[in-house]
Amino acid sequence: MNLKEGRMGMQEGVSLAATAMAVSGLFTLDQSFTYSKGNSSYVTLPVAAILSLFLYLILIASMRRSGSRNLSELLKNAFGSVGASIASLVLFLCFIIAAYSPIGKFIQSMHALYYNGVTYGQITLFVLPTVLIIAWLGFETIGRAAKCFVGLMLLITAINIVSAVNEFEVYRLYPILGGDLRRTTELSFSEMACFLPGMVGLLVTCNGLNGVKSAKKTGIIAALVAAGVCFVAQFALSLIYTYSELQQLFMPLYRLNHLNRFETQLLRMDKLAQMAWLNGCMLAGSFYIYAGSLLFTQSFGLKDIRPPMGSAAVLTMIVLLFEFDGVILNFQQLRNISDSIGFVVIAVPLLIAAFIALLKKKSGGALKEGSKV
Amino acid sequence: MKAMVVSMRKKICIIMAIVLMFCACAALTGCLNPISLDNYGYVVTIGADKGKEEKYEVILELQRERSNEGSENEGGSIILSSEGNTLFEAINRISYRTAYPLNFTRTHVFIFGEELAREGMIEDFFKLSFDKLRIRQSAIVMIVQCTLREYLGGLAANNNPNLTKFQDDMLYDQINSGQIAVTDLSTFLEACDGEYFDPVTPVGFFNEKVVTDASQKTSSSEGKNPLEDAEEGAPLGGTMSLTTAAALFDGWKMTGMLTPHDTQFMNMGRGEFKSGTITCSLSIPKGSIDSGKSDKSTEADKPGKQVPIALLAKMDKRTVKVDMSGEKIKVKVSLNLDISVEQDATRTIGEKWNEGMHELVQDYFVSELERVFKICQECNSDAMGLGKYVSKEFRTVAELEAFDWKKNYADIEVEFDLNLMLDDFYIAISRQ
Repeated sequence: MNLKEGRMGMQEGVSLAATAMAVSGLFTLDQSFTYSKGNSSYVTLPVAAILSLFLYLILIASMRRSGSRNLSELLKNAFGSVGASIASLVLFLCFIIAAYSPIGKFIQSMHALYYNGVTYGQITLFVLPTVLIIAWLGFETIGRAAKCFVGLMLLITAINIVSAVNEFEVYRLYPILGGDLRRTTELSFSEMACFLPGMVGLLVTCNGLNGVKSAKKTGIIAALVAAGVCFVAQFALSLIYTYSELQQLFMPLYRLNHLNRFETQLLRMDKLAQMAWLNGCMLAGSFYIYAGSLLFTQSFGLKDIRPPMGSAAVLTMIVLLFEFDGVILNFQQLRNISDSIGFVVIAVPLLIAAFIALLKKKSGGALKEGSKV
Repeated sequence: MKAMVVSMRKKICIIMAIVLMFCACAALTGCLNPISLDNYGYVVTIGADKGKEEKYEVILELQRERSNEGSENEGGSIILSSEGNTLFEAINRISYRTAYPLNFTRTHVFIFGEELAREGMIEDFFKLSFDKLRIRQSAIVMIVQCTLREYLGGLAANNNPNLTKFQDDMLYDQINSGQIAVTDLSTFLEACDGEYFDPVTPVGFFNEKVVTDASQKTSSSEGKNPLEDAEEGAPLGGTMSLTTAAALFDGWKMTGMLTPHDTQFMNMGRGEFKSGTITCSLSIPKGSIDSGKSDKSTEADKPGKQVPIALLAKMDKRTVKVDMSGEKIKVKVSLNLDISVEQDATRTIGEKWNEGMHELVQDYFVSELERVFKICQECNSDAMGLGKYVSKEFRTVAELEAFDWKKNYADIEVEFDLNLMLDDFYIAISRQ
């Protein structure tokens, strides 16, 4: 078996999952959809993280009761081998999209905001190989690298927010949450798509996290950290930009440093911040590619993770090239649907799997493999 | 055990390699399509006036870099101009004439001619991608009452060694004197697009009589009296271009202008006033002068006369309350100001503060605030930003978007509630 899992502690796991979820939550939202009816993202994102955590805890409980050691075993317990393979394939594709989303956004931001006269392809060649090399080196490497960088990313985010404190104005929060509770609820569910890949990634990599029990603690802390970071950053943005401005701003977090009127030491911090966040994006991309590949490998009974990982890398690159060639623009309708109910594709199969596994356990029908654990 | 240690060492090596790889990535950020920093022409100011042949005359001011600290004639600026129907068209034409690529990452001021601003042409000019030019949102927007050529020429004539401090000068003036209203690009666009308040910008003026620092230096280095050719009464020192006061806007259109004195009160009303000296003449009521010093009192000390006063005011707190229950929108602006007496030959303000002077000074401030608000209202300019507080009264986005603030602005009733505190009492009653 060559699954490149290794073993890592809770700190590494929390760093990795929290980074992946915070990056997805802060940088992958479609601004015109999210802020179209007011700004409630500083509430919806933390709520989405908590909802994802609930789902995670249900899955963990189901795994413990059914004796599954990781997500692929839970799927096999619930759906059988064929069903598990189909569900894994769907989740594999979700992981590819989850990896593409932040990487695509960061490449676009570097193209639009920093590099003059450089093509998307050149920037992709700069970013994607790093993502793939880290993913190739395995789960433990990704986790330990995340632990090295998480402090830097938090510090840079905090400095950026603090540097823009003079621009805070409370009137920009109004109407509070857009005055539409239904919309806030809808967004809270739809934004689960930002957090679920990170949480599901932890379930897939339970072995590397030293078992289900340890994964449970890791997931809870990571979700709370990601919810906190998303709340602080989005609340700061809400105090700096009105909802109508946010609809038009691409990657608003990048622009905080551009608001400093006085010449200070923080004047050119935006480039450093961009590099720090890019590190987070690359780690998130590596984690999603690795988790997707591991799930695929386990579900299809393969013994080596490298071929699926190669496929995952190629697929990510194809989606990125589609994005930059404008092919994805032809599927805008699909994208809009995915923005609003994309989370269903991940949440529903997993919820069904959790309940079936629990029912099977109650009726004594758990698979032998699971019951041995 | 030995195998485990070897395995751990291997893992640490790999992780260290990854960390180094990330650090190396940071160092590689300039490697995509690199151009040396020295090869750029850094545009510090973008100006636009009405063109003769085409829509705009665009003037770019570039910082001339000093090659070394010792060289005397270095520094100052390079001014480039061209006409065009858009900024990009003009930039392209300018690029034909320059041997270096233009870089806008250090652009910190946008300057527009008054005529262009009054016709609302700034909106069309700003329909550009700031991201494409890498222009920071903190760039300041301002208007010039003279021609743009005169203003920028006046700035350049002083051979200013660091034009990038121009923005800082305006910001410090706002903080220390309150006689200038500074608005950055981000706020300007927010005001014009959001329509909950209006922008106010600094105004540039030109005075050709000024004997600049640079001309004084040149004359004296030639052994001449630097002031021999100066016109009598001509201002000495500084630049021929000066920046102060506030231009009022109704959305994208400039509709009026305030004096530096009025700008101080407008800044108080909009909560941007930090500190500044308010000069005025107050009529000291009869019987307020202490009879003990009447022997040496001057004409100005006599009761009932207008006495020149200078008060250093510091803004402490501002709150705005909105009442939309009646037919008309009522806004109450409460201000807490601390004042110190800088000049009062009669010393009456300090001595009689609790015996009528407090009310006298307070009434003066309130009447000035009301007068300046009236000017803004007549220009249909919500320069004091009251619309921001009105927008807080709406519960849903639909209600807010259906409400036309500017339509209601002409009819609102504003009450200024001022709480003045006298600081440094001992200065007010003594010569210290």
